[in-house]
Amino acid sequence: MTGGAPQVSVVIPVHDAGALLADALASVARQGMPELEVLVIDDGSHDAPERWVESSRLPVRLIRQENGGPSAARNVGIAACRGRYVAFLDADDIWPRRALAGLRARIDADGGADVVQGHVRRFRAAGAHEVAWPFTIVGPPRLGFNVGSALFRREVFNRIGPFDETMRTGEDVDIWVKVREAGLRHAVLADTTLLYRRGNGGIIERLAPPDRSAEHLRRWATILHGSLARRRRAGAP
Amino acid sequence: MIADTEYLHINRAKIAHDVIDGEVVLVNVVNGFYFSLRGSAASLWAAIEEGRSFGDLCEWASAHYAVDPRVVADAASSFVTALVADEIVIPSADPPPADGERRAVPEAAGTPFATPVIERFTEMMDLLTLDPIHEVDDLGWPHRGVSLE
Repeated sequence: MTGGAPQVSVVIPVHDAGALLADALASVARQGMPELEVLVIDDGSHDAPERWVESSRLPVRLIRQENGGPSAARNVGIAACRGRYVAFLDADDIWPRRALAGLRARIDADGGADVVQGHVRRFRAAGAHEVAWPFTIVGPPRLGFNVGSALFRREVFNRIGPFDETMRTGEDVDIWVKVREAGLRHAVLADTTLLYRRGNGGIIERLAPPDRSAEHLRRWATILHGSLARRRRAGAP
Repeated sequence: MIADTEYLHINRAKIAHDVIDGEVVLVNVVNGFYFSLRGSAASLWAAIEEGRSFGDLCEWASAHYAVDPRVVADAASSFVTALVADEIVIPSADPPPADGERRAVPEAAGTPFATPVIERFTEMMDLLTLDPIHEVDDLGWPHRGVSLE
């Protein structure tokens, strides 16, 4: 990093991700971007994530908090970061090589864009907490809701507010609804910018499929209710 | 036109819904349309959740709101017809299976009856149809044939 403020801040919330955090940090290091600020927000882990932070080749700021969920951790990162742009990477996901550079080039080139988003590919590693490559790509690239596929101008969060800390799932859908609601300019890259890990026993994955669908999609009604309420308060339903 | 003897099944293959602060929010996860039911519309939705036939729904609403049955029948018919047109409910000769979940709460008995309104929103459709089950399944959308509840 040069002496001035970093151009891009990377916020990584982590809660008991084990060695997967090392994979995530390694993927950040592979981005080939020197002007990065990396913040790992330890969301009340019990598995000493500092050992993976210390073994990475990155200058990482490790911030600890009581467990408050991914939204609370990302918000701590947003408040602490200094970059012109903010990217989020969950501790169990991976960025493809130079994904961030592609996002950065696009948002720089498109001066009006508030957020640039790429595509997501799901993957499964060979086993639980398996750090070795190769892994299995599942399904086609999709333009999904994962905030880890996007690069945001930092001031976006002044306009739409922070992540909703009452949500432990669906908070990413909520952010995109707020981006839309605020009329922000959202550009899209055809490239894959996030590898989204499946099968590691996350909150949603602990539910059996029918309940998983119901729980996740019911959350949409809550999110849209919030959007309607905000618009009604503003006199524009 | 819905017959008095017909029942209304929530189209669980397409519709996710919940009740927040008395407002029923319904989301068609296939086309990205979403809907809001408040006031008498939420009350009629509560009657649908209870598994009433259309005739029974009208009879209940007439008594609940203390209003002329013909007024209620006309309003409820328009309301249900609109729900069917948007594939939110499916008419059936058979009662829906009991699911044990009743979320909507009718307005207080004696509340003046107002024509039920379905607020319909389409401006998020491209966003909501991006990948609705990104947290849910490896293969992503579509995920047909699985009940959402």
